[in-house]
Amino acid sequence: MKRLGDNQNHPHRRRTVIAGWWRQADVGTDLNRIFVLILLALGTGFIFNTVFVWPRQSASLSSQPGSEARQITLEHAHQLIQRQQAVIVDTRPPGSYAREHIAGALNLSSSHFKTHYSDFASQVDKNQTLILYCEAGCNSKNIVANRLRERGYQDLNLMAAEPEDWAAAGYPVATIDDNSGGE
Amino acid sequence: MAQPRHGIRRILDNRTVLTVLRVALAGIFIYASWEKILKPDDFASIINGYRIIPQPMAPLVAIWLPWTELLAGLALLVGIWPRAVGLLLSGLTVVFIAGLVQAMARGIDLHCGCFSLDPEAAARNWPSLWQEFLLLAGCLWLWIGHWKEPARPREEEKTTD
Repeated sequence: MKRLGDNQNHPHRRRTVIAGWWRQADVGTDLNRIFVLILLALGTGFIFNTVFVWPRQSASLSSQPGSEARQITLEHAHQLIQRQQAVIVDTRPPGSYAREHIAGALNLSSSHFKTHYSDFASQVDKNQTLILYCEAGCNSKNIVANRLRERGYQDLNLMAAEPEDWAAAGYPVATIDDNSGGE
Repeated sequence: MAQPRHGIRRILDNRTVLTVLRVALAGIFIYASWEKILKPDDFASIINGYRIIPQPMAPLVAIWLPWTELLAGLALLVGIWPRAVGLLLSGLTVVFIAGLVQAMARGIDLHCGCFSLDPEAAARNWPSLWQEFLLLAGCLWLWIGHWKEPARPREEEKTTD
């Protein structure tokens, strides 16, 4: 008598083969273990951040009201710089800064933060308004803003534009040769 | 004809090679997780740079991902669940590669954030992609190498009835 499972191509047969392989290889146990690891990581991460990271951040923010970095437009940034009400900070690597940067910008990249910070701190007061920029889609301005906030800088603004946009708007740009604010 | 396949299989299953690979991968993932655990805000900024997940989700991923890397690395170091961890890390590495490739395809110049949060220290997209492919090969090797081992002790011996 021909049974249902005897046909190799029958869907029921295929399901049985897959189920057999699944049981044989014990994939279910692997997936359970992965699930346990993921939950454990989430739990440990939350506990670690609750105990060590978030209290430090909230203490830092409450002691410096309004110190979160804000977004700023290119035009607004230009106005503030023209009125000498803000310091502009180029957070790109020194090579990019040397090629072209917004005129008057200081260079403080996240990669050279530790070595350049003391020089930067000697030139820029913690109460001054800072405008940070880098290239499109970059993260270094956020990273530098976080590090400056940790060191007591309060008025941090992130400009969503790069030197090309600045130059295209007709505002001055400079290279390392004609700007003494570089390295 | 079957000889080369047997040779590859022998290398893949070699216990000493697998142990060295397991410890090396453990070191790589523990090292990769450390800075991200200490600076979740910086890592969240880097995740946002990939522009693939909604911005409010980035802090959650920035907390979960490095701890997964650390726990997986520690599990490998101690030798717990190497097959499951190999599968998990292979999956994670495929996600990292997909993230880098989509960023390159969309022309996003981002810092990988793979092993360091420092944009200058971190390699740019192409070198990062090759690193990730090497890592994927290692994770898959670990997974395949432990494939024949039962995930848990077989119960057949115990069932006498």
